[in-house]
Amino acid sequence: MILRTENIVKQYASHLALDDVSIEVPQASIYGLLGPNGAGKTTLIRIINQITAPDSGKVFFDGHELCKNDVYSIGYLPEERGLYKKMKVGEQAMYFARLKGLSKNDAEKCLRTWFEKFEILAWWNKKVEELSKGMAQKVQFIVTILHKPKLLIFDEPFSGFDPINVNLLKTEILNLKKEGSTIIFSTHNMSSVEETCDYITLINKSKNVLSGQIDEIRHNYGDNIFEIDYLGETEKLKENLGENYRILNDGEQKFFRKIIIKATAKESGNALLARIIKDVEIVNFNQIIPSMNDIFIKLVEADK
Amino acid sequence: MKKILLVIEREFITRVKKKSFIILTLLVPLLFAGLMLVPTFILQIKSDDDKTIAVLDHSGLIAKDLINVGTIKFVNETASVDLLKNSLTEGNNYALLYIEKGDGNTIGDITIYSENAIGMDILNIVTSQIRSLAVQLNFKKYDIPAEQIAQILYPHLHIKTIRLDEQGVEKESNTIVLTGLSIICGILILLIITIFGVQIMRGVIEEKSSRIVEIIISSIRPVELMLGKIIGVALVVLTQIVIWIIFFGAILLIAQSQFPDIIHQIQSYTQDVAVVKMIICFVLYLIFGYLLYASMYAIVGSAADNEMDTQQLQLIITLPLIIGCLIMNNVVIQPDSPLAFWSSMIPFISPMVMLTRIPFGVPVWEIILSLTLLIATFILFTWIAARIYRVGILMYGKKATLKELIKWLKYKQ
Repeated sequence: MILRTENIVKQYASHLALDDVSIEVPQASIYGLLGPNGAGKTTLIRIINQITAPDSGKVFFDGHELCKNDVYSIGYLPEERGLYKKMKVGEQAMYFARLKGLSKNDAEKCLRTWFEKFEILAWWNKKVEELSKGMAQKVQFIVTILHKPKLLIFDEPFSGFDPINVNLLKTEILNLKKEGSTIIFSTHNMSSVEETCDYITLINKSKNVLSGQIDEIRHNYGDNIFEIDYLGETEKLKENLGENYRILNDGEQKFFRKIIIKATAKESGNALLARIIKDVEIVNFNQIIPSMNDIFIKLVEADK
Repeated sequence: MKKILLVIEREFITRVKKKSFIILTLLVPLLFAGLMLVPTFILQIKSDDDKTIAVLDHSGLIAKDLINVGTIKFVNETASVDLLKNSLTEGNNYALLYIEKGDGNTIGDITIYSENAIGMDILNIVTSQIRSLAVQLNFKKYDIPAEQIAQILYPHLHIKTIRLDEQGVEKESNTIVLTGLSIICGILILLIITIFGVQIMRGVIEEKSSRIVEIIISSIRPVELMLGKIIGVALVVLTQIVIWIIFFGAILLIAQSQFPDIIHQIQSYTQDVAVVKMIICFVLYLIFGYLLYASMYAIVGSAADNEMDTQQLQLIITLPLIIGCLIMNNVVIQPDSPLAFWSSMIPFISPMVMLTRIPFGVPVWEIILSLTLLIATFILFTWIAARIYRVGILMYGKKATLKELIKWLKYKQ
């Protein structure tokens, strides 16, 4: 575990921002922090960054309780991208890099490499106010990861990017993971969660409502819906399914026949196969696993 | 510690590189120099050119007594008026003074012809000469002893104002110069405090509203960020002043070689002002006055999301400045009044009030006491500002009131 929070509580004047939130972030993983607007994600991120302190609860980083010096091991990209508008891109990147503890020479060398990689070297002497939102975000992304921190925290990293740059960013995030960094990011973009995250935590109404490995969660939240393509007689198949299954969609009767069914009682895919395999020939068998999007909506709606 | 230097460097360099800074730095001394020197310079240029005024005096009373003044030369003519008018249009003379003969032995109508409109200064010289000649003619006519009349009308008086310094040495003082000097110093301090204080406030708001602060806070303590900003801007102020002083020095040196008379005149006005004491006090009061107000402006910036929200709190800061200004006016009239003494001890207004008093002479112990109070208050306010600032810069979405600021002050880390 590179990061662990224990029973974090944060009370703002009028509302409880975090209520007993515990998360565990394994080393070299990508960790998604999900939740509707105002759930408390950003507050949690700010506590990890020591921008604000929790009222109670503890944060452990790399085996010890989080302390002031850990900020150098954490890179943070806030949701609202902060750059000095009137400053030149290069100067500004140098400033932040040096604040993070890089020497002048190292900072310049590293920055030039990254700027080249992101194809923004030509903007070195441009003022930030001349850049588009996406361009400025690239600059910020570079500044955040430049000092190669152990832990990277991105608040909504993909918002404001076009699809090409979203891919560029995803690739870089995956590369960082390969190099051993741990990444936490908060997002509303569920497809990016499925593509990149290993673990997630869903925060809703200040509480941690769901935590764990992403595949496991999706499997557990499956509604036991199966899609079967087969050759053989539909009637026989239905007979074999018996009372345990409800037919959701009796698909088109072409050469392959398709049926979508839902188990009324929990039963494994293997048991289902055993029921039907003797009378029809199975061409395609597929358990429908819910997307993170579905799980998100289901959990948040249920809590209303 | 290294980090705070980075912040100072950034604040300093971005501000010094700004066009507005460069323009202000160059423009102010040039403007002053212009105001001082250009009029005299223009006079000098003019003086190269002699202006001949042809005089045609039919009365025969004036022309012989006209005296050439500076560049103005009078030349007696006897030709006809029309001829002289013609030669005027040919550009030979600057003007033609035509004096007609009156009834008996008197001066008739006087006309001045010129191709271009005649200059005010020349007209004054010509008319005053003619008038005084006419007065003398009248004295003679009525047989009045002219010298006695002059003595009665213009008694020879010389009123001096003399000030005794601590050693009892007499010094001639020039109240008008002193008043002007003290008001300029007071206003300069007021201007610098507000201009650069507002810059601090804007800087804080920019960092807060753009969330830059969230990135910086993860590498540096809020107090360091705030102090870095305040010190960075202070260095900008100092740089500007040093450049101005150098500029003025250079201009004075150049002026001394070009127009020694004028400089000598200025020196005679300011000789009894302790220039060195004045400059030292100016710099000290400016720095600590600025630091005190800078921390207050930092508080206001940290409490707001945008500049619109700051008006109410800014008013609290401007209020003592305005009061200081009002007192300044009073102090100039009565530099030794109890009001002057006490208000130059109150830290929020002492930079302005004390600077106004110094040209009139202030005991050293008063200056030391007032400075000590100012520095103590500045330290106290910086401490308060740091505590409010660290909470304020991370609070969004609401306009903080004074009550809330006091609550933030009590927050534990």
